[in-house]
Amino acid sequence: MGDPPKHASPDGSPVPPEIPDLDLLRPIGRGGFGEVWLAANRTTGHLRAVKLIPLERSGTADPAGREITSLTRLEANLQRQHPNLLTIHHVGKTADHLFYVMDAADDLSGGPASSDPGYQPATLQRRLEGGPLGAERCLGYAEQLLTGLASLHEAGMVHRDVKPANCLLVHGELKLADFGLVAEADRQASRVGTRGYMPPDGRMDTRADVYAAGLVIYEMLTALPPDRFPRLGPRAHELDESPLLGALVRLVLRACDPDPKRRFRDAREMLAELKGWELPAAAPRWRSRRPWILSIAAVAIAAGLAAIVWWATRPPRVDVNFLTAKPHFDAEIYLDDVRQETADGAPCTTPCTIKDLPARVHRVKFKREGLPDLDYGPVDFAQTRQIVGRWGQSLNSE
Amino acid sequence: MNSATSATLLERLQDGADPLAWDDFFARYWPMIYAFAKHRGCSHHTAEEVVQDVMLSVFKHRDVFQYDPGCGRFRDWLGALVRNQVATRRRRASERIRARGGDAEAGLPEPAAAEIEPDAAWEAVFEQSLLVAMLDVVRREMKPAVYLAFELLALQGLPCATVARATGLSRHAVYRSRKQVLKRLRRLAGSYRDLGRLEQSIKQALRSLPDAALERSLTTRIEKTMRSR
Repeated sequence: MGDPPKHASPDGSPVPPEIPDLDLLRPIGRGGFGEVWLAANRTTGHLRAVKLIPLERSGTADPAGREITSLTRLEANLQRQHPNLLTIHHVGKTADHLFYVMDAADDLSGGPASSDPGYQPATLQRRLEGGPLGAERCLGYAEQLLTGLASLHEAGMVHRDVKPANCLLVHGELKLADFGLVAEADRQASRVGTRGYMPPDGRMDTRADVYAAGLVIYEMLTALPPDRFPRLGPRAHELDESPLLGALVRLVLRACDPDPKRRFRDAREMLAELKGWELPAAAPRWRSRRPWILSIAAVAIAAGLAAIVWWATRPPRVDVNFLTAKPHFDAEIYLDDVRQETADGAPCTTPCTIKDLPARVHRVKFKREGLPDLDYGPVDFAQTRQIVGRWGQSLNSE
Repeated sequence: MNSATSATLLERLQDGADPLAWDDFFARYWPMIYAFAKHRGCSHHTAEEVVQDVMLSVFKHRDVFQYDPGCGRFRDWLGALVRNQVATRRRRASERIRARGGDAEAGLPEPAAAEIEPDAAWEAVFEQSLLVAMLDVVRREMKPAVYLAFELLALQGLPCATVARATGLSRHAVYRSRKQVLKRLRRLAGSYRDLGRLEQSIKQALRSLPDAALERSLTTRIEKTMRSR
């Protein structure tokens, strides 16, 4: 609805059709199959937007019939108006037109709708002509768009024409508009919509709406046309400072995956992903998980480093023979007052070789039943590889 | 752009009722017209006006312009038209300044690289736009995350960790993406003379050509003008 309408009298000025209770002030846009006028209620003066669709068929096309079908479907399936779907107040017919009365969008300047000649309805498309949106604003609009779309999906319908021109800002809230192509999700919906927003696989189901919603969020982030996806343009350099921007890019990449199976199943699933981010700190989920991952990684790295240091600086290991001189074998061996044992817990007794001992100074003792303990004294295993204990003689080593 | 494509597009352009042909024409040529005008010293505003003038001029001549490959390249025809429009804009600006009693010579700044002849400058801009078109081909072939990883890492120079976070790929996959895209680009580039510096040439082309963000406002304005004619 971004363009001025064609509906005009022979002298070139637009002719306002007669609509009950409303004065049509001037055309403010054109949709796929009709014109949109700014209108004022004759009694209250409230401003509304009125969409007019000619009842006349053009060839095989029956735009009014299609619109009536869609609106009937919408009313039957949707239990109540959703805050993120544009409110339709009234549907009716004149002699020439089907019309429906909707909320009027805010002015592009950010103020409310007005009858001022300078009034321009704030669509997302027009807003993006001024450049990309900040990440926080983008997140807010994305959530509102997906909430509206999810309500359609939950009611078993698909929109099939999600695009910035169909996202209106009313009282600062984003509302999805133009329900002319709404269809039931379980039907084989035909490939209709807007060029550039239809997925490459051609299936117009809930995943196709997800694809289009992804592109709308992409446009909010970059203000680039959808055929530039996934280029980020100059915005790319903000990725370093804005984790939220990164999270939004990731969301868009999944929503717009060419393989429909890899996309979000519907707007509800996409919304759940977005809501899973920890906000309002604008910290996406990975941020809250990251400290755990980092802590575990840090501990693992520290432990690894410690092991390497210990391994590198530990004393060399040596094998040492322990003997006791005749006539007394089978003495137990104590190093630094610790009894040496084999792997199965049995004491090491002379004569034996104990393997893999640290090559440093140890205090060696031998003990045998019926004999006093034989204190061999300190021995440097770096120097000595064989120790022979002798009771009743001076101690020595070989 | 090859001759066949150009001929087909021009044939479609002659049918003024084919809006898609005009979309294609605009999308393909506006960046180089804009870049050339900027290169010749025009301001952003004047460069936009040159784009608009050239588009209108092509639209006006659509009935009489018959593409004939034997009579020279379309690129030369368009180049002559663009140079002419830039010269006209510069002359008008000088006249306006002279009328106000100013120094006409100081009307518009000299071209950024005065030593390059306009013909050579047009050729350079054309070549850069071919590189970007090649990049677009690869972008459409690759998975979005793979292409984005390449662009962020190789062309924007972002750290691998940032790229991995934004694309959801592992760091290893980010490096693999760069390799994969460059391989495809090299294959497409074929005998391109700067093969050894392909990555640098593309970076340069992206810097020289106008930011695509301009496109949205420019398209809307030119569409309005075209419709009003």
